[in-house]
Amino acid sequence: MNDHELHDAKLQELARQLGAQAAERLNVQATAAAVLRRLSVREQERTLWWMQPSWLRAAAAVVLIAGGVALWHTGGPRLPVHPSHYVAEDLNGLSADDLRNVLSGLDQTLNGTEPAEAEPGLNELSPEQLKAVLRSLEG
Amino acid sequence: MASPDPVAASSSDAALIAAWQAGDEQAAAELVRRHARALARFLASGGARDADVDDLVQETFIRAFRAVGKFRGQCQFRTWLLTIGGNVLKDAGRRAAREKVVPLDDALRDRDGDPHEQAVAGEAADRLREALLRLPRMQREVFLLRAQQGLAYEEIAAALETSAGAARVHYHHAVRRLKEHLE
Repeated sequence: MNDHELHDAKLQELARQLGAQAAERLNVQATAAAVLRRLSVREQERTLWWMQPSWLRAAAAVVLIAGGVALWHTGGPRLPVHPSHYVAEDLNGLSADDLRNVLSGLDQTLNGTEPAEAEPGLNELSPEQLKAVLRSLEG
Repeated sequence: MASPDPVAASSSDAALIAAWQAGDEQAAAELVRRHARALARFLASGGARDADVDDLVQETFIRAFRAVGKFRGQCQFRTWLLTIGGNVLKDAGRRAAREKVVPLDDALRDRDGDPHEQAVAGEAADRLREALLRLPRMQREVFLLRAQQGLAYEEIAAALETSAGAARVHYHHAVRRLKEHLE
């Protein structure tokens, strides 16, 4: 064995000594028991984690169903039911002035303010353009 | 705790892993008994404080058991376990740094430990420990797996997902730097 190998062997011997005391102090039986206990706890936590949303979903569904049934029996507010109707279908018989009035009224409704005295933009539009504006407002 | 089941004690690691996956807790306990001390030595050499070794050993086994489905037998169970221990140690170091407690690299080990151990531990071993902590993680782990655990380069390479040649290079770099520090 040369000096180089001797040095390597010494290094390996030192490395094998490292941590030996910590390993000796370790209570292996207690460590095994602790690992099993912690695994069990984590498994329970995971189970709870998966169960909780199901319970919440079930509870929410029960509340919704019970609330819906109660509302139905008490004759509570119901959504108005009527067929779809588009204002644009009624525009054909209107003159340009009528259309400007409708648009001004819409402005008032949307803004909650009085219409401006002068609506130069609307006055410059043709009846077809006014109808197009109204249709676009309907969405 | 009950004494180890003699059947479990004589089983291979692979058989114990299969038994654990089938729900046999005693198989897991036997794996802990079988590999805990080697893991503790690895962790302590890698920079864990004495006071933390037990907890880090437990955490390593817990991670290993929960991820055991990913273990394909590419290396020995112990080698795979040690690499998980390296990750646990790294995470502990990060936590310590975040919490601004004494970092693992500076702590080296618990100076309030057993006075007898302090007396017995040689100066060379202390210097080696310090030098190990200055190595890059890959070099440190390869050195410990090779020099302390006596593993072949092929085994180390399989565990660390590198080549045997690269593991050999890491080992020689580690040895060179450790010698520089010790001389």
